[in-house]
Amino acid sequence: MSAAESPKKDAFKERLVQRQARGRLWSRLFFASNAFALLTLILLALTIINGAFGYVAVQFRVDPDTLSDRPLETLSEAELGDVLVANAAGRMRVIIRDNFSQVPNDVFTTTPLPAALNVFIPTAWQTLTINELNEEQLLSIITNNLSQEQMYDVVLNNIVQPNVVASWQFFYSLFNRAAIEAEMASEYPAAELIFRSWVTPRFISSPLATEAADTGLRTALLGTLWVIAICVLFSFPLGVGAAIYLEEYADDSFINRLIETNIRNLAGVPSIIYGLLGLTVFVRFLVTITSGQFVGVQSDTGRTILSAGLTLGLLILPVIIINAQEAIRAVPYSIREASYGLGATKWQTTWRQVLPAALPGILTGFILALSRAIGETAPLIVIGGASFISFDPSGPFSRFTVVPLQIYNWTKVPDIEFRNVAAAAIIVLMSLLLIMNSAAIILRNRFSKKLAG
Amino acid sequence: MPSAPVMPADAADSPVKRKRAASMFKSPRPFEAFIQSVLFFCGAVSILTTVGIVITLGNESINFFTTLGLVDGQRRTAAPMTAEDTRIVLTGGGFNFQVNDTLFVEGTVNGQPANELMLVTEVIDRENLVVQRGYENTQAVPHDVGVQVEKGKRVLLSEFLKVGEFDPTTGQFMPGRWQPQIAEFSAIPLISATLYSSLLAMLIAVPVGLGTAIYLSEYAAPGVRATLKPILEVLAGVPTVVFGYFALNFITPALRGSPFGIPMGGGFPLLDTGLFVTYNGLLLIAALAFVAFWVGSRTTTGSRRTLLTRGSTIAALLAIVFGVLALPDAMCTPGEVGVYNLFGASIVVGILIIPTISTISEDALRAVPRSLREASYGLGATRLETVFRVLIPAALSGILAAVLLGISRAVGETMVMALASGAGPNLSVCPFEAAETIAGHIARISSGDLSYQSMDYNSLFALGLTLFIMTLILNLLSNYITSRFREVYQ
Repeated sequence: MSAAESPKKDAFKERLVQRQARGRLWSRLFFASNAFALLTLILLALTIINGAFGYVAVQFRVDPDTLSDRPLETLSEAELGDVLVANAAGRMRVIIRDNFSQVPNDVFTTTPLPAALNVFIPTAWQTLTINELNEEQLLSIITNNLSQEQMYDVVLNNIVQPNVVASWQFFYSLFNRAAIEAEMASEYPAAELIFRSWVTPRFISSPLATEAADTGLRTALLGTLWVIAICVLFSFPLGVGAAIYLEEYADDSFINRLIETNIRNLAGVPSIIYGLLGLTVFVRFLVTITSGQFVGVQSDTGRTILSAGLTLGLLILPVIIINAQEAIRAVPYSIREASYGLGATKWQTTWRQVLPAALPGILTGFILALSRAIGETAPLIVIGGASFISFDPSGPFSRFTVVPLQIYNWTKVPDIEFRNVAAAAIIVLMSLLLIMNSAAIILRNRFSKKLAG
Repeated sequence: MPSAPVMPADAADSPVKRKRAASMFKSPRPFEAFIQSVLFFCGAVSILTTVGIVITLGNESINFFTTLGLVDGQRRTAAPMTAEDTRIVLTGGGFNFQVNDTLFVEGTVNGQPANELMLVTEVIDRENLVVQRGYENTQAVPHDVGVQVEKGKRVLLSEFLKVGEFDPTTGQFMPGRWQPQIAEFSAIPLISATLYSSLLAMLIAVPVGLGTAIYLSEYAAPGVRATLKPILEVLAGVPTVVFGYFALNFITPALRGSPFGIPMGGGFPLLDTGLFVTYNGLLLIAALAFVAFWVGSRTTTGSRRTLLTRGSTIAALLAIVFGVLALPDAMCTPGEVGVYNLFGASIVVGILIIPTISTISEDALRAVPRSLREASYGLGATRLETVFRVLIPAALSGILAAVLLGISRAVGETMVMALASGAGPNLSVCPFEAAETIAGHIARISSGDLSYQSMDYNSLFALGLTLFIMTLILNLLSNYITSRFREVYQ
């Protein structure tokens, strides 16, 4: 080796070290991108937890501790009945009316009991009206017909009457307890500080209400289920049919290429545009169908569950088709050839061989598309999901609200209590999506094992 | 081919049998044909959807641009007129008419409603106008009693796309405004906010999405990949309304200095004028240091050179950081970050399109054959050099398609914008103010029962069409790039 080469070699080594150092730096940056994605997911989860739990200041009309020496929710029906008689005897007729009345309020007190109430009435009272019953009899109607849970609600709403006067978010509650207590003492001396989870079974099972502390999600959950049911009925057959056509039947003609390109482009159209489409076509143009007039429903608005389901169906159709196409394409061609070789027609081959083999893939893709539809909000805002309805949807022709729409409405409200409710609703929605996605994964694993074995 | 299909031996026995055997292949199968047409219909629904979108948006947009809308909903009354009168005398209040305004005059003739359009040709004073009767092919009719006048307006495409104009009296630039209530219909503030937010979102999504894709396809061990991939899938599956909640309840409060509702003090310090000087000073120092180190590194050799190169890298990074920190001051007037602001919303949009970009780019990177990587390593390239000089060029079409698709999603993103970026169109370079995008505006205006006859309603479709065209161009471009520039490897 000559001496002249040595500095060159040094320069090479030096550059090599630099290059490797640069490589290490960038590999860290690439890893950091992943960490960033992970970090945002964690922050997202923390933000939701932050909203869904925390201290609330509750003001009671009657302190529940003075009513009984045990916590109210552990009392039996009879014990709750005693509490009711002791504290709100005068309200028992109102309670009966709110729970069991089947006649208008103005004739309630003058109608004989069997006609006025929708519950069993002993023969001895057949001719009496509500005003002629004594306390004990009134109580027996209540305790005989309400479960312990319902009794507890009655006691809570009629005697305790809790009222959330202030709310703090989770991390603030965790770290600033002293500040909260100071604020409590100065602003709400009569209130009690309670750590509250805003997601409760009660939240899921009670209907929408105007007060953040009382509202539930049932109306919106049922709305979501109805809309998704319509969406499934509409989009599954259409989507799978289109995929079969494109994979099994379509030749390479202009129209088929057009359909193919078109589906790919539709998948990229913003969802709010589908809302405008649904508003014009389903809500306005097809109003006789979507309002249910054609089957005799007395309604003139097309802003119904049917319109919403159809709109969401159109929205996820391209995704379903693309996923189903992939699943069908994955079925080996030999299966088709064997079927043809046995004399089966094209449809027999498709129906009996290709579809069963492709079904798990199709279903997995379909469930994933459906979970997109469940979380979709923008098109439903445009086609006019109601912002507040207190009645449960009763069929495809009723007005509706869905869970994401409620999250949107509640998030928009500046009150912190409504943010809490929105966070609780997000937890419910995300759980629903998690269940669906796990179902998709289980389905995929199970069927792929079956096919392999 | 070695052999023709072998006929069954008995097929050729009798002409009848032969005919039957041959006809097997021709026999019409009505059921099969029926199935095929049903399936074709399923496929054609997608075409119908597109046609539906185009007709819907087009039709209502044409309505918006051609029919006369009643702008302010204010009704003024006027004195009775004959069919020949060219002077209209207003009674009551609200006389803000100008020359070339169109009047929509409702009246009754013999108890029947009679409407007529009139064009204002001269304004004599606040109450007396000279008009051209029977404007736009309406009939000039006498108006007896209870004459009501509304201000009408036709929106022209030139107004819809008007950036702004110079006020001749003050010489100031008056930006176009979108305020249907006062008959201002320039969509530019909405379009610019849409593009601005997409740009900000892409500043987050492209580097992070690409970095993620490169890491997952080139660096990550299979086990690491198996844990990181589901995280991205979860991120992709989160409904956008939840991201809207996140933007409003975490990102914006964090920018304002109280993440999770816990006051940390300060907030995003960039709008503070005192700090403006500091950041610019630091930027200047870092930039000077960079130049010094860089020149130094070019003129020396040995370990000192390595040191100087490293120094120049650090100085450059610092300059970028301080530059970014000093930037908002150049764009914004001092003050606080708004409760609703374009910046926070755009960051979140960027986060939510990371999975879109990373998934497609990763697929493109993984499709590059192993032989190319091996050839590159064989020439002595490091892994990083292989990534930048071989893999990214090879997968460029896929990566570009991913980026375009990401922009298209950012442009059309609705819920995050509707929740976190605020109400009211706003043409501003400062991203820390509230501004409304097209999609966000459509969502806000259409919530609630909108009257089908109003100008707001028609304007939704004109805006929707604008949005549709923007995303369509991006999608078509993305498709074109994938199909035209795709490198096909064996």
